Amino acid sequence: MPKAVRLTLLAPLLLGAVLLPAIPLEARTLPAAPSLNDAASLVSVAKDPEKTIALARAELGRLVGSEGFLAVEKLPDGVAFLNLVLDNRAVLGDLLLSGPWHDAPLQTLPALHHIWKGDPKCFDNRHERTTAVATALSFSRKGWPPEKAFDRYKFFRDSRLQGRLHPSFDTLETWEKRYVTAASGNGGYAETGGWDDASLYWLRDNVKLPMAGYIGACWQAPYRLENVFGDSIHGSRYYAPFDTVTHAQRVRDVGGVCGSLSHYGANAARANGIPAITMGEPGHCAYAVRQGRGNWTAAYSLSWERGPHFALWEASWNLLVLSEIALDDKEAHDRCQVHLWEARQLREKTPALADDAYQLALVAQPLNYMAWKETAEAFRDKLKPDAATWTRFHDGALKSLAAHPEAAFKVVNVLYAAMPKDLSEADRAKAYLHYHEAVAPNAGPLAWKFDSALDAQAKLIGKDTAKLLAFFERVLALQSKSAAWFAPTISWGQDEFGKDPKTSAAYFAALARVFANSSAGGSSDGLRNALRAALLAAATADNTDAFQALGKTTKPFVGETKTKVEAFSGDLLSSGGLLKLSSTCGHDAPESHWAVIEGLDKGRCHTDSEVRPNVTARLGRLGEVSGIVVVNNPGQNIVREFPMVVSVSENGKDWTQVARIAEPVGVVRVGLDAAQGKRVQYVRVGRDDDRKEFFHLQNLLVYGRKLQ
Amino acid sequence: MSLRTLAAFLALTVSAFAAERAPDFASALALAQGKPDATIVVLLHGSDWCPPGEPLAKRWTSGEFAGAVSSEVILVAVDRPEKQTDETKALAKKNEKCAVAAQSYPAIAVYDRDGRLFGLRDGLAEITGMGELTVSLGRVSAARRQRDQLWAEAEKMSGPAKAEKLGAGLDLMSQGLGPKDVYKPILEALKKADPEDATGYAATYTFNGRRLLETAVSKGKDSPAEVEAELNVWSAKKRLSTRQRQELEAARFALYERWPQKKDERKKVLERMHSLDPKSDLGQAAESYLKILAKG
Repeated sequence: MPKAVRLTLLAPLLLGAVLLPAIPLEARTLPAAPSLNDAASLVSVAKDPEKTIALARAELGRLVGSEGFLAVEKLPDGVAFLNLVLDNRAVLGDLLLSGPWHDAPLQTLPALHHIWKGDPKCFDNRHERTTAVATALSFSRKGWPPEKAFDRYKFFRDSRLQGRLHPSFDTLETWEKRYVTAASGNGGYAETGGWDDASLYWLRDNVKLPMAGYIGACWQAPYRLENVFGDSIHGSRYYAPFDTVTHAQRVRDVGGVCGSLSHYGANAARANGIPAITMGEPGHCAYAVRQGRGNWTAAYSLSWERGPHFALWEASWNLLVLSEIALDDKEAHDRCQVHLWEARQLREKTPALADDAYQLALVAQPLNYMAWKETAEAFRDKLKPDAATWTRFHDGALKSLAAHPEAAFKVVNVLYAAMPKDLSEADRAKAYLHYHEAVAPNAGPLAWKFDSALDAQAKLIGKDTAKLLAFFERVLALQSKSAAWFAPTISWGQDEFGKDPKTSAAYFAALARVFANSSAGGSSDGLRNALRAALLAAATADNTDAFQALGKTTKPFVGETKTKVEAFSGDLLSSGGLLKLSSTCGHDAPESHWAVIEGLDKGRCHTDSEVRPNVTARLGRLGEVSGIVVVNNPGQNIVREFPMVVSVSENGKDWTQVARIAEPVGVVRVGLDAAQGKRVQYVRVGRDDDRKEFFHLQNLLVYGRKLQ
Repeated sequence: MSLRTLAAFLALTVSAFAAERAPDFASALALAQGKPDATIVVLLHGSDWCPPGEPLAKRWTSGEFAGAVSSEVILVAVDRPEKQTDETKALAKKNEKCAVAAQSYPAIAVYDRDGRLFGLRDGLAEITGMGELTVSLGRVSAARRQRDQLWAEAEKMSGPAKAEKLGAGLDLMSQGLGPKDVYKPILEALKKADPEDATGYAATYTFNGRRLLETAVSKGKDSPAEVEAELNVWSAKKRLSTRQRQELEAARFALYERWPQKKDERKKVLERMHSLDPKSDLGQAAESYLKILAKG
C-alpha cells in the first residue's frame, strides 16, 4: 500500500457523543451504507465522521438483520429505543468497537433495551453507558436471557455509585468491562443457586481484596472432595443441603474442588469490578485475574493448555493476550474495524473492492488476528486469489503474527484451505516450512498445542511416508534452535514415526542427521541423542506434556525397576511432572531425568560444577505435600550433595526452605507439616555452601494429596 | 468469630480512656512491653483501593476515637496500598509481624503484647456487627485481660485445675489454636497438667471433624463398626462445642450412609444434628437434608 494512503488512514474515527437526526421509523429496513465505489472511497469514508456513523449503522443492521430490528421495535418503547441507539455515536461505538459479539447476537439489543427501560438515563454518562453496553454484550451469548440484563447492570451501576467497587472499574472501557459483567459459571448464565447475582452481592461485600489478592482468593474455600455429610463433589448432594445461603458463601463454607474454587476466585474479582475469567485446563479448572491493562495473571493454573470460558476473540490464552494488545491501541483498532465494516458490505457483490478494504484493515492494525482470520476466510470463500496474491498474503500474515505462533498458525491454516491450484507442490512445502522459520525464534506469550500445527501440515502433505519424513527433518532442523518448539516437534515425530517399526529406522536416521551425529547410526543411539537435547529443551520451556511424552520413551534406557524407598502418605506427586537442573554437563544423562521423578532406580541427573547448584521438580499435580524423599547416588561423591537444602514453592518463584541437611546421608527424608506442605507445585533440592562443585541425584520423590 | 461472642458476655470494665497510638506494628509491640495490660488493635485497610474502608480509617485515626477507647489499647492503622513506594515498603517492613491474611478488607485484628493474634474481624459487615467500636474494643481488651488472668492463675496451679484455667483462656478466643498453631504451647501445658483429660479440654482442642469424616468415608464400607467405635469415643467427650458435636453427627451420617445395616438410622442422626442448634448453618443443613431424604 502506498505510504500516502496509509497516512490518510491515521485520521481518527471521531466517534463522539454528537446526536444525529433520527431516522424515520417507516423508512427503516436496514440502514444503508455510504457509497463505496473504489479504493479511494474506502479511505474517504473512513475519514468522514458522518459517513462513518452511517457505516456503523449499516454494520449494526448487518449484525441483527431486519428481523432483529423488527423484534426490538415490538418491545415496549422499542422504536424510541432503536432511534436512540442508532442516533447515538457513543452507544454505537461502544456496541461495535468493543470486540466481536458472541454467539447469540440477536439478544444484544433486547438486553440493552431491558437495561434502558430499567434506567432510561443509562446512556447519559460514560460510566453507566459503558456498563450498560458491556452488560448487553455479555448477554449476547446463548442461554443468557436478555430480560435478566438489567439486574446485572444494576448490580454494577449501584455498586459503583455506592463506592463498593475497586476504583479501577471507573477507568475500564466497554470491552474491558465485558470481562467483569460476564460473571458466571463456566461461561453459562447462572440461575438462582449458582454463580448468580446474589452471589455477586455476597462476594462484593465479603471478599474485598487488593487486586493482587484475588489471585489467591480461591483458597478461601477449602479443597474438599466430600462435604461434611460425606457426599462426593461429583454427586448432586454436595451443595444441596446448604440451600439457605448464596452459592458463593456455601463454596467458602462447604468447600469444593478446582471448579468451585476457581469460580469463587474469579467471580470475587468480578464482583468487585475487576476483570477475571475462569479457564479449562486438562483435568482441571483454573482462573485468571487482570492486574491492569495487558496484564492477565493466571491463578490456580497447572498447565499452559488454557481454554478461557469467556473470551472476546477465541478461547485461547494466547489470543486473550493478543486481543488485549489490539484493543488497547484504540485508534488502530477502530480504524481496522471501520475497514472491516466496509469489507463486509462489499464482500458479496464486489469481492475485489472488499479485498482492498481488508488490506486497509490489516494495514491499520497488523496485529489484529481477527482481521487476518476474516480476510483469510474471505480468501477461502470468496476472493479466490492467484498463487502470487496468496503467497504475498500468506507471507504477510506470518510477518505480522510471527511473535504469536498460535495466532499465526490459525490464520495460515485457514489459508491452506484457500491454496490456489496453480501453487506448485514445492511452493506449498515452502509455505509450510515458512511457518516454522517464522515462529522458531518466538516462544509466544505461552505454549500451545504445537503438534496440532504439525498434524494439519502432515495431513496436507499426504500419506507418502518418505515425503513426511523429509518434511519432518526439515522442520526439526528449523526448530532445533527453538526454546519452545523443539521438544514438541521431536515428541510429535516420535508419535508419528518412532513407534512404528516400518518408519522408526528412517526417523532415527533423520534425527541423527539433524543432530549432526555421524556415529549415531543405530536407532537406539539416535533416540538417546535426540532425547537428551529434547528433554532438556522441554524442561527449559517448562513444557510438562512434552517432557512426559518424551520421558516415557526413555524406558528402553532406564527400565521400569522402582527404587525401594519408604514412601510418605498420599500419591507420588512428582510423577507426571518435569525435572529441571540449574545446569547440565557431559556427565549428565538427560535421558534418565524422567526416571528421577518417577521413582525408577536408573534415575540420574548431574549438574555442572558450580556454586549453589540445584535440581527442581515441577510436580505432576498441585498438592498438599506430606513428605519428600531424595535418593543420592551411592559412593564417595555423595559429599557433593551436602549441605543439602530442600525448598518448596507454589509458583516456582517464591521459595520456602523446609529442610537443611548438613551431613551426607544416602536417603534424605523430609516430612512436612500441614503449613509447610500446603499448596506445593515445585520442590527444589540444592547445595547452599560456596563450594564450586557438581551436584547429582538418583531420585527426587514428592508425596502428598492431590489438589486438582 | 470470637469478638462477637465475647461482646455478649463480657462486662465492660474499663476504668480509664484515651488509647495510645503506634505508627506501626513493630512500634506497638515495643510500646506494649511497657504496658502489662496492653492490647494491640490493628485496623487493616487499603487507602488507594478500598473506598468502603476509608470512613473507618478516617475515624480510627481521629483524636476523638482514641479518646473514647480504653487506655490499655494501643491503636495501629496498617495501610496496605496497592501502589508501592519506598516509603510504603519501609512501613510494610515494620508491619510484617502483623501477618494476618484478611479474607476481606477493612479488617480489625487484635493482638496480645507478645504479638499473638487474639481475634480477627474481616470485612465491613463483620466489623459493623461488632456494634459501637469504641465499646466493643473495650470489651475485647477486657476479654484479653481475662484470658491472661486465667493463664496467670494457671501458672500457680497444677493438675486438672490448671488445665481448666488454660482451657477457659483458649475458649475466650474461639479460634482453636490460632494461626500457625501459635497457642499450641498452651495445649501442651494443658495436656501435661491433665494427662487423662478429665476436663475435656484436650479433646476439644484436638478434635478434627474432617479427619473423622474422612475415616467414615474411607473405612465406612469395610470396617464400619471400628469407625463407629471411634465416633462413640468422641461423642463421650464432655466439653465438645455444639459445632463439634454437629460435625461428629455429620461424620456418623456419612458412616451410616455406607453401612447398609444402619442406613435407617440416618434420619435420627440428622434430627440430632439439627436439634443441637437449629439456627446454625449445620443445623439448617441437617434440616434441608431431612427434606431431601423425605423426597427419596
